[in-house]
Amino acid sequence: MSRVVVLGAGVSGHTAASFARKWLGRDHEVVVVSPKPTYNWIPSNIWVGVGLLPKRKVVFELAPTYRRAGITFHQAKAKTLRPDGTNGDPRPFVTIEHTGGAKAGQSEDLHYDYLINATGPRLNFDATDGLGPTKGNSLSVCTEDHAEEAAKHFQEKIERMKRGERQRFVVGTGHGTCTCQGAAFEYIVNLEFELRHHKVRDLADIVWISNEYELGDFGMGGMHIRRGGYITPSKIFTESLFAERGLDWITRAHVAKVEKGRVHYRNLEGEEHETPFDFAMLLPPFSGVGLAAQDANGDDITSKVFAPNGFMKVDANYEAKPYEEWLAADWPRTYQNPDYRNLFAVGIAFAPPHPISRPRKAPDGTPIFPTPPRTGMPSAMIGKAVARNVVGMIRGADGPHHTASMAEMGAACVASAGANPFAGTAASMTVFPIVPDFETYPEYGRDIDNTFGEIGLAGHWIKILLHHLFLYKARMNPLWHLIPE
Amino acid sequence: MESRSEYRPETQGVPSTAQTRAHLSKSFYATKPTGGTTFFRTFLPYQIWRFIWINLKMIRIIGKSHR
Repeated sequence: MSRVVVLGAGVSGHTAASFARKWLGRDHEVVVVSPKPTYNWIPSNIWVGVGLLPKRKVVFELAPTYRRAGITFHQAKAKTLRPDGTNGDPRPFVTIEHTGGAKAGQSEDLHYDYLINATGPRLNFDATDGLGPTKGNSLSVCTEDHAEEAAKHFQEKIERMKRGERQRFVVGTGHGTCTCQGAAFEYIVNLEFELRHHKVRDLADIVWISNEYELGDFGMGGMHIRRGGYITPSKIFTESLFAERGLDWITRAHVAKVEKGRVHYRNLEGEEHETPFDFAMLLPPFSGVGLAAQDANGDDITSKVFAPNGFMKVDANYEAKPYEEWLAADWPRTYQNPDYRNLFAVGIAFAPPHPISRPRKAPDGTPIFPTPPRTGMPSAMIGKAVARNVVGMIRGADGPHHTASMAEMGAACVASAGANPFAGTAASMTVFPIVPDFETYPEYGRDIDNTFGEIGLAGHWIKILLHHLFLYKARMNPLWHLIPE
Repeated sequence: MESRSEYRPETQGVPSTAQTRAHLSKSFYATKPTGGTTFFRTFLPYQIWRFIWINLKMIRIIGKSHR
């Protein structure tokens, strides 16, 4: 019997665990370790954050789903990885600390034959002084609880505006190295849409602030779309949407400090600025969750298994080289750790070889550019490919043969721009591949026939459809596996 | 770099004096949709067709991406 341990129950980890369970016979065990008892369909947190959905509509309890599916579930967080076991027992294990139930606070060593690291990120609010909803002065929509709190503040601002008070909203990224600009983009346009719905838009100043060099970068170097007789960069479309909606924007900005009612930022020219706010939703940068690794002697090997940012090393080319020399082939294909063949990392947990957007620094060395996104559809597809490889290796394959390189796969994305069944809109986009491949597609780095984007009501319907389909799939209801990632 | 959001002629309720300063705004230099474009974004018959077309396009991308 083999045991597959999956650390994390986000999109990638949950997908990997679900498919591993489906493909493996019952004589093998699949174990999921997640510090939270619930699954959160994060893309819909945007609608929780503007008060359109209650929190309960984007989460469900994992334990009953896993019990039904035959997956062992530990509500716990992983602390230390021991891929060599100990001197007395060479079986690899991970030390976990229970975070719920009768065992809360207790540690346990969980042996594994294969381990899939899908821990996702640590929301590194501490990277910026005063950032974040817990200890800081800004809001977030990264978790369902954060989104719920943002919605409460948003409602309070609406009430103020209904009393005639002018309010200033600042939305974007809270640090020079943030990713997930797409989520912040969805939030700002939904916020604007809701203010119009509440008939208080004329009393709102809404400002976008981000670390992107140009609007529409989204951490993937932007994209080019064939439209209206031109091949047009995403910058043009994003600026157009912002101008149409009356949104102002500040780009090339590293938020250095968030005080009550004031954001301090530095730009690529090295200038220091500040902008006031009544409501700020600023995303944090991500880092690894702080999982340590030790060898059989108990000596620290964290730097061998993990990159300095805390994400796990996989089969990528981590050689440091200038932007001009980056290749699509640098990106991982199987997500297997180079030193341990039974160790994989998926979703945000794997260390990317380099950013996708061109790296830039302020004169004082402050990095101001987006780090690469690894969420949504690619995250699920990577989880599925890794599950297929693990199952194959358990059945005797000599190694992983299924690949899911972000430089070889496309992604479909629907970004909500206002939720209403008849007046709502969303930007529907596809890119192929996600990571530009300038060797295969020298002009734009992507296949223009398979990279498109448009905004309209149809996109909103698709967004609604995806919300229900993916929650149905995540609950592992009948025929869940037929719904594509 | 300080925000100039007060110069937004397209926002309902903005004082008319701001209308004369539209060219000072960053959004002045952005492409904006025509009335026809915005109309078709929520025109039901057209959007039903786009719903089908976009889904087919996305299914194609998903198919190309699975290995």
